Amino acid sequence: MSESVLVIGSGPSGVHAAATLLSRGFRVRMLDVGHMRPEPVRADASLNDLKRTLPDPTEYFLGNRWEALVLNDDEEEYYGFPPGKQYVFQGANAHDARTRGFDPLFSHAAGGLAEAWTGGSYPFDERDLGPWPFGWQELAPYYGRVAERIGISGSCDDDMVTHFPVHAGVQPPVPADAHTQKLLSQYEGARSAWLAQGARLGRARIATLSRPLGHRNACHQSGRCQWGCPTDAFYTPSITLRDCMADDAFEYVPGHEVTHLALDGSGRATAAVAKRVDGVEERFEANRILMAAGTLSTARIVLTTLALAGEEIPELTGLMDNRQVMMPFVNLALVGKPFEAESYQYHQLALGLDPGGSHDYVHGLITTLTTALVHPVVQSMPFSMKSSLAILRSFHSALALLNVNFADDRRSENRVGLERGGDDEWRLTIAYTSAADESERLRARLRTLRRLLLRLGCVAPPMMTRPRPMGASVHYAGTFPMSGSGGDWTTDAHGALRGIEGVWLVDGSSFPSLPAKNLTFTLMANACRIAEEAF
Amino acid sequence: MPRRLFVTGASGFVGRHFLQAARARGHSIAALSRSLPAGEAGDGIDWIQGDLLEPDAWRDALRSDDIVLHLAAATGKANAERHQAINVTGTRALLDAAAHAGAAHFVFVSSIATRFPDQRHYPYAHAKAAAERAVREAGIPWTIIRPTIIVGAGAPVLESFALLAGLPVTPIFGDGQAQVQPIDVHDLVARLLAVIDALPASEVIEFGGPERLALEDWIGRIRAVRSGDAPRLLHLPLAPIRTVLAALEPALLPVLPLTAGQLATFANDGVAAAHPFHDTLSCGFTPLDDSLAGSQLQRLPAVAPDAATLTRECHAFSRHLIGCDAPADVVESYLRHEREHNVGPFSAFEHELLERARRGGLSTTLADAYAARVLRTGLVRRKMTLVLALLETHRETFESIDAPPAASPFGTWWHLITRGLAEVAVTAIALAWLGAAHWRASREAIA
Repeated sequence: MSESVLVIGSGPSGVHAAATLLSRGFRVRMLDVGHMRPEPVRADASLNDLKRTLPDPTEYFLGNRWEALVLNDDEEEYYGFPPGKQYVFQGANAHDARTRGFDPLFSHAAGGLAEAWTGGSYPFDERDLGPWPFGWQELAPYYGRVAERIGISGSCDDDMVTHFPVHAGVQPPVPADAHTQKLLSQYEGARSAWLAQGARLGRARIATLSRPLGHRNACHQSGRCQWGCPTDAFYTPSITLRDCMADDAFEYVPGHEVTHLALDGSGRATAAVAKRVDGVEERFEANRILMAAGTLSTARIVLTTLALAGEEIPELTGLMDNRQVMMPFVNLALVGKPFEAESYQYHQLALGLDPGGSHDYVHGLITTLTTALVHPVVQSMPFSMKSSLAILRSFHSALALLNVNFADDRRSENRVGLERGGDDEWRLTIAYTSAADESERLRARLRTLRRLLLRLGCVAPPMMTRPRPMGASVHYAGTFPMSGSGGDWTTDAHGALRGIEGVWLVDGSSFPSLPAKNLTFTLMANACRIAEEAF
Repeated sequence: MPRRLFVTGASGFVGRHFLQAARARGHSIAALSRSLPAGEAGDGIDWIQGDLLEPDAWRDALRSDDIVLHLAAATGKANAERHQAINVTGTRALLDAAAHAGAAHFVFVSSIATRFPDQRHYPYAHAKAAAERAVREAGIPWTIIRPTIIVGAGAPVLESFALLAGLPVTPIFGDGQAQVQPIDVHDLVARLLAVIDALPASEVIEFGGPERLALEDWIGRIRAVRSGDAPRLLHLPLAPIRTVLAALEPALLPVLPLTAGQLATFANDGVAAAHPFHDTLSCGFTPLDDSLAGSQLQRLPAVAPDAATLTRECHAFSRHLIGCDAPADVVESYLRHEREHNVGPFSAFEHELLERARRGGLSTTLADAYAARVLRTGLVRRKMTLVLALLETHRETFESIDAPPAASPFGTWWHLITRGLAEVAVTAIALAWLGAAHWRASREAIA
């Protein structure tokens, strides 16, 4: 009989570790809370078809409890969260966490937080991997393997190849909408000025099919991305989870939230202890446990394990997250043109700004924002509702959003701990302080980006540029960093946890640095690597 | 020791707070007010309806050994004659009646403005100073209280400053360095009660709040608490503006957003002088930000409008935004949302603004423009946002919202330019007209 491995969590790390283990002949049991994605409504309909033909389109778009309605008393985001994706956060923030300077998000969805991602799949290059105990050559095959598994489209021969190394499995880009084409032609005209600033623009690498893959069809431009791709052309981890479930060697155990691990006398983990929805505790014995609950939940499980074993609870240092800044802009050449509702909706362009040094590399994603609801934007504009609506209608085809991502590094002041809360339950404590030079760095980079956009004929009004709070990008990492040299509460190069034997961390916990590029693709590739090489 | 108090200005801003606290302290109270507050019968207060200038209506309610607390005053945009009548003649009438009845003590709530060195064009300060002289000379044991700017939920002066702080560009008259020391109304009331306990005779006591700050920083604090950002300040020369306003006042007082006299705050330090009585106080201070935040967060109780009103409102906003009535489904969703999430206005004025907004036509346009500048988180903008959200997800209306407003890019630019000019004009009218109404609504009425 083949050996069995216990995987905790079904996010991008968990499902790709599981798929790799299955391909190696292991049996895999996966513990998960596992709220399922609802069945898509009318998979063949385009966005405007839905508005025309659904019996109550308002309920579909705003939610039957008004979840996606953004009124003028909360001015945080330009998007209402689509009702069709509520399952991603359902019940997951019930845990009490005491936080300072950090607004964490958790997910109990089958597929994890990446069920609500936007598909950016950017390999870390040699420089990004500087602090890691291995380099591009070691990771590249796994990027390729994941790309072949999930389907990634993008360009392998435009300017962004400087930052996005080429690996196997990249399909041609999905057809660009008119605004994206316009921006690319404007970039051709401004290219030398951009390059002189260390800036580049090119097609995004996204987990969206431009060619059929297995049983999944290519993107058919329904314009429904934001509301949940109805055809699986856009990848989310629940697709891999479903593929795993087709394998007899895979056992999915939903409805279980792991609280801690059981240790034997020698400090080796022998089982995971989970609480069922009905509150009953269950033990799952295992020789090998792969933790893929997500950086914060993994930290909670490990720290609770130590607390219940009567050991001293360490304070984990080095929590990281990407600072994101939302920079809406207007492409003056497109003002007053009609827009295409039926086009790919997430980012189609990626931007790199590289004044030198990995920490300084700024990663930008450009979304042309066509089918998002307009009322959240209109109410946030500094004019009367009537004028704001007129301006938005005039600028609708010309609007775009640049989402700017900044790198983070491990700093000792950023801590994750555990304490007993008021209800006597264990709760996480999270404290985050931005780097001292952050605001200065942000200001300088944003100024440069605004000037670069101007070169394309695009205006980014400074008062509409909004930094998101730390925690909002949901790129959490760095609590148990991989280290070649050892040290308390680190992992080895294969994610094996130093301190508790029999446990491998395959999620973001073990990232020793966090480049500006979205981490999800690397989470998958790294989980593959560990599942292939660790034992 | 519980006493019997005779309080004027009892339904005013300070009066309402004082009555509540005084009653809790066990004092028995006779309260004079021009209009009786609704629904407060049986509250243990002996309400007397009457005008300060018509003593026959209330003279007999004064008793010997009463402590008189004189809060009633004309403030803000009243004209010089009215200031003189209410603040001087009215005070004299009250003093006469009190002396005649044998009142034990007369506590006069005056203003820090009476000792502003620069009182040009400021009839309020002149009248209050004259009233102070009358109090000193009346032959009744007296105490004069001079508060600084009074803040707290619904404070009239705070609302006026908030109006300034909320503008896209906030005019600062002069250098903005005049000092202010705002005091929370609860803190002031606690001090008034302490004065009534101790009755320090022949003393002038000034009360200020926990912080002294420059006027332009004060406006910045209001802005920070209310909208989370910093105001853009525009410094204007103080002297010529006061002169111009003073010249315009005789003709245009009802519509001017502010008076020359009110600008004295920009020219004078308004901080409380130290007084030995301060050291005897056991009551503390409300932190300034709490006073400001409290006054923002407090909505009035929601009153559910009937379905016909909501339907009319929904159509008016739909016509305003996209030029046609709302489809029946949109009205239905609108009614459902408002039933499920009915919230109240921040102030009586906001309620009035909503009533104007639902009238349709120019009235809706002006209310929208005014809300965009001054009440961004208020009900009018909230309800218009809801109507827009419903229209953009409805089968019959989404396309008109998705389409550019004109057929060609040139037409769109032209539309934007005319829209911009209209916005400027409408905003100017709205700020002048509704701003004046807002200002009036937020002034303290005389008792």
